[in-house]
Amino acid sequence: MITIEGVSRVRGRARILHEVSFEARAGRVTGFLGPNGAGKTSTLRVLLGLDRAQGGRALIDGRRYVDLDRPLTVAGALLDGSGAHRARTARAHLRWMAASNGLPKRRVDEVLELVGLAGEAGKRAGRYSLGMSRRLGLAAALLGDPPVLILDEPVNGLDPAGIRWMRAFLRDSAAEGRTVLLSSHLMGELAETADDVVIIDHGVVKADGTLAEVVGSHATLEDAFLARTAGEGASW
Amino acid sequence: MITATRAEVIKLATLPSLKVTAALTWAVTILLRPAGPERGAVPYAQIGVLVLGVLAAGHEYQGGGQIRAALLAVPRRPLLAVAKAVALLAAAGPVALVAALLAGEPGATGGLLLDLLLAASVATIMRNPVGATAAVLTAYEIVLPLVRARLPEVALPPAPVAVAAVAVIATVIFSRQTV
Repeated sequence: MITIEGVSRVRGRARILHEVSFEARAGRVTGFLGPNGAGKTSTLRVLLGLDRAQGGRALIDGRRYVDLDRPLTVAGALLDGSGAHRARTARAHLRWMAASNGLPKRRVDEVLELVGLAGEAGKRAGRYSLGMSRRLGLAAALLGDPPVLILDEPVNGLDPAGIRWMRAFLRDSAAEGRTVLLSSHLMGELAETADDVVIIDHGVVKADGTLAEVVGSHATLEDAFLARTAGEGASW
Repeated sequence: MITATRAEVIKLATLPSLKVTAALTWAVTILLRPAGPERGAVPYAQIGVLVLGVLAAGHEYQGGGQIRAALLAVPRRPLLAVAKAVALLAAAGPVALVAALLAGEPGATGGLLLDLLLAASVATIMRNPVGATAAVLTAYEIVLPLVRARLPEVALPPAPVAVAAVAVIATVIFSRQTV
């Protein structure tokens, strides 16, 4: 369970996040939707302790990420890039990550198998395609078999087969009882995957509820999204 | 702390450029010693050790976002900084020791370990291995000799004090930097 309570963040004179509050519950996929620059990545970075908020609290199962003892066993995160140095092999990358949280070596082979990289584990990360890099990042997120998954634009750069695989993976994870929070600016993708939707724009939460509630009387999630973020011109 | 340090040692041991740098450092030291350079072979080994320190700390910030993975795995930054320093001395310290032995001056090991820590600290502050290499080599090969030759009355702080100060600054910056 993820709890974001009144999180505000200012960088210089720019307001990045303004009293952002929402929850992501166990057993459900929560889609965090917003245009580019709306504050999705900033919120996730605050949640993961990479950035500091000036106000509010962002908690995972009631605790701040930086206070977790073996964080990889509590929450797995997929951010931009694979997180692996390009000269290191995928297996070596996962080995140091596993060691950092006292996880057994066999987990490395298990997650490589899970994301379909077992045959390419000896390749250097710099030689991976974009899709393979995302899979490697996901493998790292899964190392500690965490009950919470936090993914920033997980389908970016994936081909149609990869998108379908990721969608099934996220649905299965929620069905197993995990908390899944993913950000996206792709509405069609979220409408296929999410149980709950949070819409953010200019650092402010504009809508928060089940997919049906957020879509409301609009024809599609896309219409609902544009109605709530309209009037700001082209953000793309 | 122990698991974080072990992870950092694995990182250093699986980075190809560090092995190459260590091998080159030894090779240069072996090749130069019979030629009998005026200041001995240690200043040449020192260059290799400085590059080693820069690469060990600076590779975190190269493409791929490894520093973010490191902070997700060990989010307490001061703890991660200490784990990195311990791992560096454990993994690269023996390289400095062997280089000093090959140069015929085992007593130079301590100085080389300080060079290693200083280079890693500068790379952590600058986050750019190429720039950090240029900075430490300029400081060691041009600025320090110039100061010593032109301003002999200036009392430079002892090396351990200077390195400790830079390491503390690097840890503070590391704990606050946006990655």
